[in-house]
Amino acid sequence: MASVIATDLGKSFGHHQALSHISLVANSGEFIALLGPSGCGKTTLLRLLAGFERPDHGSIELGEVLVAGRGIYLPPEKRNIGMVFQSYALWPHMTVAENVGFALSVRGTPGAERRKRVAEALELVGLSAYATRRPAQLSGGQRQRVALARCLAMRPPVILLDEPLANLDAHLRETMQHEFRRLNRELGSTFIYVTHDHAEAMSLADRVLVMSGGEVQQLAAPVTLYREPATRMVAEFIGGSMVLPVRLRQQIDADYAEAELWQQSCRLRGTAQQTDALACFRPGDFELLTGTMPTHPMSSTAGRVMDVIYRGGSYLALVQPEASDAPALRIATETPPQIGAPVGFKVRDGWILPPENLARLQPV
Amino acid sequence: MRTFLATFCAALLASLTTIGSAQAGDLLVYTSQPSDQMAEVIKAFNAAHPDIKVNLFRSGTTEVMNKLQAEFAAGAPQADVIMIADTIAATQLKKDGRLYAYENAPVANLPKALIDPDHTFFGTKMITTGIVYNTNLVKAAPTSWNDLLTPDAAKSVIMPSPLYSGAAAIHIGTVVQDPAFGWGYFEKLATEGASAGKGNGTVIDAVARGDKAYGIVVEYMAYNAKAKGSPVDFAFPKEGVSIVSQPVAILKTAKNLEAAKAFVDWQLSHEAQELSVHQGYFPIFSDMTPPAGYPAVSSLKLLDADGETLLKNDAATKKKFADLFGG
Amino acid sequence: MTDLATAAAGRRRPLLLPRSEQLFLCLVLAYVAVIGLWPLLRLFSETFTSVPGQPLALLRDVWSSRSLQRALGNTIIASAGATLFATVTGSAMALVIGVTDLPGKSLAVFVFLLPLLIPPQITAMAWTEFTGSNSLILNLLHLAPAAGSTNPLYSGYGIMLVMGIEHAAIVFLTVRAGLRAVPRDLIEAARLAGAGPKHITRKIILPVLRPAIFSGAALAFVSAIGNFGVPALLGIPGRYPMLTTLIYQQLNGFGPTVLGSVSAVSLLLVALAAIGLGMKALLAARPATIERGAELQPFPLGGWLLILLPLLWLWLGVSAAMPLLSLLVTSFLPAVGVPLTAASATLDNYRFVLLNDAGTQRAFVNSFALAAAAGVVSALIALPLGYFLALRRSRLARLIDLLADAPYAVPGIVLAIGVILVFLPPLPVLHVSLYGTIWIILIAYLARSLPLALRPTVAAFEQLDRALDEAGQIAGAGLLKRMRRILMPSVAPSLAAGAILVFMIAFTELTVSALLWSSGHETLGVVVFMLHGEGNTTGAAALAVLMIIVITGLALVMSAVSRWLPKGVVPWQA
Repeated sequence: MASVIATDLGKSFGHHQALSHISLVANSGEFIALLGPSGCGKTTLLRLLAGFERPDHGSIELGEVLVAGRGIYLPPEKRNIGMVFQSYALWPHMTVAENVGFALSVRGTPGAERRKRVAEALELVGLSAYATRRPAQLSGGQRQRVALARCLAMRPPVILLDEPLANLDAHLRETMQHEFRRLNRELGSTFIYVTHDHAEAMSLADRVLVMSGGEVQQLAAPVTLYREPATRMVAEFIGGSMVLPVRLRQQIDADYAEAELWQQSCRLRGTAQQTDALACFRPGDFELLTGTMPTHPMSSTAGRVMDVIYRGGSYLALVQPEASDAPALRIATETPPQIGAPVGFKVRDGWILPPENLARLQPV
Repeated sequence: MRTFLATFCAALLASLTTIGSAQAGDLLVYTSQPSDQMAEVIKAFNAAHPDIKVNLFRSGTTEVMNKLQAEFAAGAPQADVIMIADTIAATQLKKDGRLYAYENAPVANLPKALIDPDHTFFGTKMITTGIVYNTNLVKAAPTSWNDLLTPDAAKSVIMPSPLYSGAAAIHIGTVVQDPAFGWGYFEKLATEGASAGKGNGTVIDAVARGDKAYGIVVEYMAYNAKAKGSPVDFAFPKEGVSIVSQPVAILKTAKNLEAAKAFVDWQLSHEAQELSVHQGYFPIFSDMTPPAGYPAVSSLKLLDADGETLLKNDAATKKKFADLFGG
Repeated sequence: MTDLATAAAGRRRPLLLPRSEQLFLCLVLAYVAVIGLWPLLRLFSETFTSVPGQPLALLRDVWSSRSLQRALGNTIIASAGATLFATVTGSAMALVIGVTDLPGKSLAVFVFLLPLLIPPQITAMAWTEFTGSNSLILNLLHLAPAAGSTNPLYSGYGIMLVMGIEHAAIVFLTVRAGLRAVPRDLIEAARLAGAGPKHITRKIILPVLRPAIFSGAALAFVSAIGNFGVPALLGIPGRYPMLTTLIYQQLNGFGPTVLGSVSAVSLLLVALAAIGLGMKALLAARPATIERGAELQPFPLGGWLLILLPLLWLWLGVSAAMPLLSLLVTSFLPAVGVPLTAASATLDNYRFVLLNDAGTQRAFVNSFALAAAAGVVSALIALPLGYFLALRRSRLARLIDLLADAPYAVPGIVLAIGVILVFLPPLPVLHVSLYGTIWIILIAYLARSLPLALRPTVAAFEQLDRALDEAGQIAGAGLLKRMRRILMPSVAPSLAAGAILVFMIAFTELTVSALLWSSGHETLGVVVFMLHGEGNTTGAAALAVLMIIVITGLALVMSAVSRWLPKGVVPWQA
């Protein structure tokens, strides 16, 4: 059963078009990340799902229920969803237990049942001992977990999370990421998670919706996003690819095509649809050639090492290709070359970006 | 919180009971006599009539009249009895047909000047307006109204305004009617720098304080202040003084006619006049002793005043006064 | 748009209101309309309809009368003078308090703001005692004016002085709030560049403060033209009529027949007030969100302290403490003009006021009940209105806010007349007239109280994270439940502060109740005014002293709980 269906959503604020033609289908229990740079519209989309804003056009269904669109608008209090806010939004005048149990008391759940559910929720996040404390007495990470427990007590089918880890330090962030994954699997609730951090999205989500400028760039599993980005934006946003112009010669088979980068022949993944195209390369897609072996322009390209950066275990060499004014390439290597040394590099892999007008991948 | 609610509800209930008709045995009196004196009046009245509860609205005559007029306009007059400073207002009310003609009032011993020919209102006091002066500033007591016109005196004179005080309206109307004075008297005062306060209270305040050397004021306020220790004294000018009779009248729409009549009877009795003397007023009966330090009633020279003329010129008098003395 | 800007803008954009919430707001709108707007509209319709067929005839007559032109001229001149005085002293004080490290700030500010708490008529009374020829203090200093000479305060200049001192407090508050908005980094950058304190004040702080100064000046002007207590006590004896006393006097002298022409004069007052408020809107935006950032670092005064501190306290002493002392002295005198000695001092006035005068005792109860009711009701209305204004940015709420300001900005006398016109005839369904009851006073108080209660509430809501409310929505709570369990507890201290502010003003006010009170329903302000008018100045002084004690007590209570309140709610918290 699809848990969240958003169809062709649009929303503008004054002259600013925050969202256009956003569609998304999330299956029950899925972990979907909304990923993109600031201003891309991901928070707006989340707030539309929550009901804090009303879409200009399009519709939203939660479960089987139409909550927005076609003349209907259900306010947030009636949507039965959970939300973890970036600022946690814990009510300072209530204890942890009162915070967690608030939704239940609003619904009139009898006292004994309510206390049981609150205890369960607190145990799920490991804060059973803090039930009588007040938010002011808790650390950032603890408040984060109370905010989560508050959602869990309601046992909602959908939980929205608005950059919940943005205010925590790196170590705590990793712990909480494990928590989110675990809870998602244990509870079976659909998680919709907003973040601007691509590493976080990749490690947490089943599928990622990459957004930019209010539009969908790609909706796919993290592996696909990494290996087969649909647009330049996705390629550059995730994994720090380098996007370079290539000449495509011919399709070798279903998966590979023959191409030319600065006169060097190479074999790239993807489909050759036109002669001039863009391809995306990762630092590991190049092989650095040091030494004075004679090279043929068609099998390798010459360059000069501008800088070498240590990456904890391996190195990144910044190589300026002689053939072009393109910015320096980042090439992964085990052994650091000399800065200023002339080197050569071979293309081992790469992905041909689909032409821009075919860029939107359909949701699967 | 609870006590507040209780008080609030009590106030609410109390005010609710004043809406709508008064209970039997209740009397609503509108007056311009000072509130501390009215407290004593009510106490003395209740000694003779313990079953009648007297409710009071006290303010300057013109404010009382405004309130009455507003209530007439709304068709819901509240008062049973009025006792205001001047006959002008009472005459107006009579002309408007608001007053009850109390034919059998006990007026046998009353001076004629205090009885309305139609028996709709009766004077309860003889309040005179004369000159009060600060004894620290003025060594020779003034003897004539014209003593106030000298340049040195005039700029230190304060008088009550007819826009706030009924007694002042009568005084000014009376003086203006007198051919010896007319409007020229007040115009000269104005040019020489005299000022007008609000009611008589502001006059006695200014003179006692020493802000002004001379004031035109009702006599009881001056004598009362003197008795309390203020450095003031009072002079009766030789040309005569104006009279304010503080008429009492019953409204035609009075809800408790019997109680109203009882109140009027009492006001015209010797007991009430004893209290008046005690409060520093002249008694209306010439056979009674005035308060200590006051001249005998028979020795007073009164300026003539025609009630109808006073009424006719009232609005014009106020307007001209306002124009002269800065409104 | 940067991340921060998006987040901030998204958090405060106007949100759509579901129908139930719109209904709620409409109820609030109805409340504001009935108690505040309707009387004003009725008043203006009276102006244009009193001469049938000639809507402007009355206006023409009234505006061409000499007494009105004189009063208008006086009002503008005196108010302008008072405003100038108030702006200079109020701004100077705000700068001294906000920018320097002067010791004893809290106390100094409290004394400076006392005129705000004390009703104008009592201030005027106190000043008259202070500057009169038999003023105890001035006589001690051999500075008293000659006996028999008119009290120097009975003049246009006297009015400018007393009103100026009174309204300096308003300017102070506005400029002080403006100071809080000066970003600290601007100053720090200037200091790094080598600028000294004077330079920084002149080149950076004052320009940033300009809107706040203008705003304060506009408020002071509007207060000045609507002031009744000071012109009543100083202007009438001084032959210096102003518009407010003209209205009072016309009503007094000529009765309700002149309601029409009084309405015309009121229209004039409202027009002046509108000009003042319009200038305020033009020159000064509403103070922005109170920054939660760091406070301005005060400049050390060094040697200047020896000059500034005594000067400041000398000014405070003369402008605030001395008049009150004179009032106190008068309250112990047996009669006006008697010099105060150990033998002459008496408690008779206090005895009279507290024990012997049934009227005064009733007035205590009345004023207390009225002020408490006004405070509680206004706070209850301010809660949802402040919520919709600050957290939801509803346009309807903003309209209501604007409309609610009208009965507050309009002079009290004008509102009172409007209220009489509306509530004199019996109410439709109940067939009961509210005129002459305590309810009519309450209605007028409520109309004037809402803006007072609204400001601290809005300040508190501005500081609240909108997410707290949204989390409540997510948890399934509707508006009323959220109001009760989340919003009210969050802003409770500010609500209480607003209610107390309303109480303090309503407890002692005169302007409105002077026209609306009736038998048994006197308020304390009215009793003081009447005692004074009857010549019982010493009794009036005693009652005034008691009122000041109550007000000061409440102010101290507010100070004590100020740390739970957002900055700026308790005005004198330095």
